[in-house]
Amino acid sequence: MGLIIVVAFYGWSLLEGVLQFAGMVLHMSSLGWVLLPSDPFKISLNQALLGPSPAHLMGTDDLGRDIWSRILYAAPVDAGVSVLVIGGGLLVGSLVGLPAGYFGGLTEEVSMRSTDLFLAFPALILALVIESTLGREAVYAVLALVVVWWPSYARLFRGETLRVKSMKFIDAARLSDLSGLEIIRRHIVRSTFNTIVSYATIDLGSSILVYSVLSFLGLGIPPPAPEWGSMVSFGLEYFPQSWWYSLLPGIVITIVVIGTALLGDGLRDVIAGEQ
Amino acid sequence: MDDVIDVSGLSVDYRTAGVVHALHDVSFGIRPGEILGVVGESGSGKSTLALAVSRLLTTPPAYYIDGKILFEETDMLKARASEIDSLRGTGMFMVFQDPMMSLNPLMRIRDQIIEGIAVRCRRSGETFERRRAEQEVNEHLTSVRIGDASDVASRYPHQLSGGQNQRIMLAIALAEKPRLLIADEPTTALDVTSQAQVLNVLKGIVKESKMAMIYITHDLVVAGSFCDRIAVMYGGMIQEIGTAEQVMRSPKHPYSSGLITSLPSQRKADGPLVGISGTFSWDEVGGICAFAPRCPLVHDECKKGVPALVRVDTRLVRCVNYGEKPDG
Amino acid sequence: MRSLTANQDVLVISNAVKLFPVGKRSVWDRVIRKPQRFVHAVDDVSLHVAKAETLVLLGESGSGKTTLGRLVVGLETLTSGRIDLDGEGVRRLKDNGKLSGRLQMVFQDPTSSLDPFMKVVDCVAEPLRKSRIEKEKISARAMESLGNVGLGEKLAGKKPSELSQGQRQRVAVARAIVSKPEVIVLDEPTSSIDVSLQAQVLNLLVRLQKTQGFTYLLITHDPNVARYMADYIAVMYLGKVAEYGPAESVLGNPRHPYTQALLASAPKPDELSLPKPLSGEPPSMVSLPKGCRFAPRCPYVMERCKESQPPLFDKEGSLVACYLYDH
Repeated sequence: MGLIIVVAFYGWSLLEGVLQFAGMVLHMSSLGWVLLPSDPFKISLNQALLGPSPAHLMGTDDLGRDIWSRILYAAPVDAGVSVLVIGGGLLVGSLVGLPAGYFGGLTEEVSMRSTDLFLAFPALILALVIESTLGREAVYAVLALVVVWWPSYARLFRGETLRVKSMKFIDAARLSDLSGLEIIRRHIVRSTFNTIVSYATIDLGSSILVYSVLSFLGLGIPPPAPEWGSMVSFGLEYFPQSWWYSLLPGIVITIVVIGTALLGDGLRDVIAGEQ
Repeated sequence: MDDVIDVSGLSVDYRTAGVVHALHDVSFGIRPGEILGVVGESGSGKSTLALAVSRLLTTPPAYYIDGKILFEETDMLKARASEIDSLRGTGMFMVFQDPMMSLNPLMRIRDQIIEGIAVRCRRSGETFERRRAEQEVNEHLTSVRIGDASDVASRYPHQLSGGQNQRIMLAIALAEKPRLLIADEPTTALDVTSQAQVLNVLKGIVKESKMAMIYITHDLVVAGSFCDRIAVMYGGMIQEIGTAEQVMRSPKHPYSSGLITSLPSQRKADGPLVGISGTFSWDEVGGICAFAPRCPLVHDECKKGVPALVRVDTRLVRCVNYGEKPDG
Repeated sequence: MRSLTANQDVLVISNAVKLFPVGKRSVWDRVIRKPQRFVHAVDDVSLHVAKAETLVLLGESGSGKTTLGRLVVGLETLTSGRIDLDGEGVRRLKDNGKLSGRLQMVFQDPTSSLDPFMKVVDCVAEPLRKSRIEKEKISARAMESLGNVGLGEKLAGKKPSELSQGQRQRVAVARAIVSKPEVIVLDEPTSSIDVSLQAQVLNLLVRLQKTQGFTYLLITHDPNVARYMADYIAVMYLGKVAEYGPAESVLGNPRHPYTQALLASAPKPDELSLPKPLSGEPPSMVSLPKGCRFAPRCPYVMERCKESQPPLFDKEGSLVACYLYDH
C-alpha cells in the first residue's frame, strides 16, 4: 500500500518537476500546468470559495484558484525538499557517524559531542532560527532541515557501525591488509545503509511534515506560488465554512506521510528477513 | 509410578510461506526422577518440542495438528490459559538456551530468585519469610557453582556473563522445585569444568526431589553421561528412543550410529572421521524417511513413506531396516 | 623441546604478554592518577610450532587462548614479548608489508565470518586484493580454493545467507587458504556447527595440511578435538601455559593438576557416568592470586604454590608449570 502512494507521489512530482524546470528554462511557464486540470495561478474572483465539484475536484480558494491543481503543482516542491533533506542528512550523517564508529577514540568523541550539541536543540526551533536568519527561501528551508536531521543519522550510523565492526568478517578484512577506509567502503557502508534506509524512508514523510509546518508558519516559498503547508495556513481563515480550503491539502499531506511510513515499515521487514 | 508427563503422537506444523512439519508423531513418557535426553542437531525439532510441550508456541505460525500432552492430570492441549499459567514455575519449569530471554533485565538477581521462592511457597502452602528466602538464594547460587554468591545476587543480569546467567536460571529452577524441568541446551555456553559441576548438581537435585527432566542438547556424549534415557531426533521425528546405554553402546538407527562415529575419539593418524555426509534441509522432509538423503544404508523401501516406530528389544526405532513396512 | 619431525620452527612465540585495561577511566580518574587496572589476558607465554604441524591451544574461557591466537595473526598487538614467523618479528613484517597473506585465521562463528552482502567468491578472494596478482588470476585462485574445500562452482555466485552453517565454515576455510599462508590460526572452528558437520570440517583440515603443508594453531576447549588434531598441545589457564608437550604425552599422561581435571571433566563417549567435577571457581582475571593461578582449586596445593608462580619444569619431554615436578 505504502509503495503505491509513494510511487504515485514521487513519480508525479518528478514528471511535474521536470516540466516546471523545463518551462522555467525555456521561459514557457505555461509548460508547468500542461497536465493540470486548470491553471493554478489563474485568479477569478467570481469563482472564489466554491466547494468541491466535478469542475473543481477540491474546490477553489479565496482567489478562485483551483485547489486540486495547486496541490498537484506544489507536489514537486515537497518531494524535492524531502529527497534533498533526507539525502543530505544521510550524507552528512554517514560522513560523521561511520568514521566515529569505526575508528573510535578522538574521532568518535569529537563527532559524538558535536552531534549531541545539535540534538540539544528542539528541531523546529532550530529550523526556524536558521531559516529566519538566512531568509525566506525554499533553499534555506532545506538547509535548515538538513542541519536538524543529520545528527540523528550520525548516531544511527555510529551505532550500526559498532555492530558491524564486531562481526568477524571485519577481522578477516583487517587480516587481508585492507585499510580502515577500505573496510568502511567495502563492508560497513553496505551493511549500515541497508538497515538505515528503512528508517530513512519513513523520514521522507516526516520531513514533508516538518517542511509543511515551516511553510504553514510562512517560511516556505512566498505566494503566489502554491505550497501545501501555506495552503493549509491560508485556508484556516475560512474554516469551517469553506472547509475544503484548509482540510483537503492537510489530508493530502497526511496521506503522503502515512504512505512513506508504510513503505518504510515494509522495507524494514524485508531487510530484517534478509539478515 | 505414573508418568509425570506423557506425550503421544504429537505433531506440529509451522505455516509461513510453505508448511514445515516441525514435529511429527512424537511420543514419550517420563517418570518422576527420570531424565530424558532429547538429542538432535539444528533442524531436528528438539527446541520446538520443548516449546510445544510447555505450550509456549505462538499460533500462528505454529499449529498443533495432532497428538496429546498429558502433564500429571492436565491435558495441556485442552486446558485453559489460566490452568496452564498456574502450572508454570512449580509444575513445569523451562530453562531456555538464551538466558537473556527469561531473566528480567530490570530486577536484581536476588529479587528474581526470591520471586521464584515466593511462588513456590504460595502454591505449596509454605510460609514465606524474607530472611530465610535470602539465605536460600545464596544456597541455590552456590549449588550452581556461582562463586561470591552474595555479590552476584545483588547484581543485574547484564552485569554477568552468559554462563553465569544460565546458571542463575537453573538456580531459579532449584528455588521453585518444579515437578518437570525442561532445559534447552542449559550448559552449552559453559566451560567443560563448569558444565561438569552444574550437571553434577542437577543430577543430585533431580534424583533427590524426584523431579522429571527433559534435557535437550546437540551433544550426544553429554546426554549419554547425564540422562537415563535418550531420544534421538531428526527432521522433527524421534528416530530412536531407548536407555542411554542402549543408544550409546549399540545404536540401532543409522543416524544415531552416525552421530557416534562423528565424534573425534581417535587421533588423526588413525584415519579420517567417519561422519554423516551431506547436510540437513527441511525441503527433504515429508513422505519419506527423513534421514534417507544422507543414510549410508538407504534403499528403495525408505522412500516409500515415513517409517513407523518399531519395537526392537526394549526400545523404539524408526527405520525400515528393522522390519515393518512404512505406513505410507 | 625438539619437534617430532626434523622440520624447522615456523612460528615462535617468546614471552608474549598482553594486558587489557579494565574499567572506564574518566578525565577525573586521570587527574588524580588512579592506578589503571589490567586484565592479564596473556602472561609470559612461550611456544613454538614446526612446519606442517598442529599445535592445539587447549583451555576454557578466560584462558587467553583466543587472545593469543589474535596476537599471532596481528589482530591484537603485544604488550611485550615477541612473535616470530620464519625468524622475523610479526610486528616488523606487518610494518614492512612483507606479512601479506602469510598468516590467516578461521573464526568460530560461521555466520559473522562472512559479509552477508558479498558473493561467496568475493569473500574467498578478499585476501588477494592487496597482493600483486592480476585480477583474472585472482578469480581463478578463489575458485580453486573453493574446490579444495569441496564446494562446487555453483556456490560461487551465492550470498552467504543461502548457505548452511557447514558450507559457510568451508568458505571461511577457503578464504584462509587462498593466499597460501604459512600459518593458519583456527579459533574454535567447529564449536558452532553440528557434530556431523564437525567431522567433515576436521577431515578437510587434516587433508589440507597433508597436501599443502599448512601449519595450524588450533584453539579449542574440546579435549576430543584436541586429541584428533594435535601434534602438540599447550594447555592454558588464566593466561599462562600450564602444560606443553606432544599430544600423546599431554593427553595420555597429564601431569598438571589442571590438565588432569580438564580431561576428567569432559564426558567421554564410552563412559556413561557423569565426570567428576573440579571444585571452586576460576578467580577474577583482574585481581590474580600471588602464586600459582590454579592454587585455589588444586587438590595437591602446597605452601610454596601460594607464594610464587611455578616456572615450566621439564618432565620427560613435556613442560609442566607445577611445583610437584620440581626436582
